[in-house]
Amino acid sequence: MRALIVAASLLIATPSLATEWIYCTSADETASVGLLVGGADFASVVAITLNAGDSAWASSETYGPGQPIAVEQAYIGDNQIIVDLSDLDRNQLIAELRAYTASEGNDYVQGGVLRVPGKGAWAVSCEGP
Amino acid sequence: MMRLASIIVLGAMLSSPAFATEWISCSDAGGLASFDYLAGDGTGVLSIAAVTITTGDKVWASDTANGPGDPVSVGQQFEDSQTIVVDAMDKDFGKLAELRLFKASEGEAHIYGGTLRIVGYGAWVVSCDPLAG
Repeated sequence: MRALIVAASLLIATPSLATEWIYCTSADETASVGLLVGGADFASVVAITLNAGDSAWASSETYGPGQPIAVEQAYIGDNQIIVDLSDLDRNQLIAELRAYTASEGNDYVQGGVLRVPGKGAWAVSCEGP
Repeated sequence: MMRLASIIVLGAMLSSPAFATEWISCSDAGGLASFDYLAGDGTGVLSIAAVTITTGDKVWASDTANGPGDPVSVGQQFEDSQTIVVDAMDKDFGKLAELRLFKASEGEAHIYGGTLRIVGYGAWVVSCDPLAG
């Protein structure tokens, strides 16, 4: 019985390992990036989708069609989202996402820019997590 | 002698950096809020000469020449190759608004995008046209 109580309390005390998507999209929907984030404060990027014009990238076929893509470096915190995405060898920069977060009253917003070298640059607004 | 002085003055004018100013207009997609500022360039750092902020029917203007509005002034201001940060202050020098922008350029596109927070009113995603001025 005591073992059951200990096990139950451990389950309750274990932090949630949930993941949620952040989607950032340009107003004309020409470009978008999705980041599946998890871990403490949703600061770890575990999956990626990226679309720019007719081009698409995805970190796994599970998340959609496209060329392979990976996180080169990322920082989510201090009211900022700063993410560089690259090819799997981290030799070629594929995209840069830079966004600020702001809140006031019931408002919580995230907005910034997405640059995809060779494709374009867009102002984006983000939703989630 | 007069000609020499004229040449020196003209040469100094030509070699000085341009001190042109331009309005940067930032607004949310729904037209609910805006933050416009008159930026001077040529000094190498951000130098805001005037600011006008709106949300709904509320207007703040640092210079009545740019329209009616409650008093506002510029607090901290910073710009480098990647970001623009501006704080606007009310008449008592309390925080009125925060503009936070990232820049991106690719090909012909030059984009500013970020957030605008107006204390007591709300927060919005904004984009700006840096060439609007």
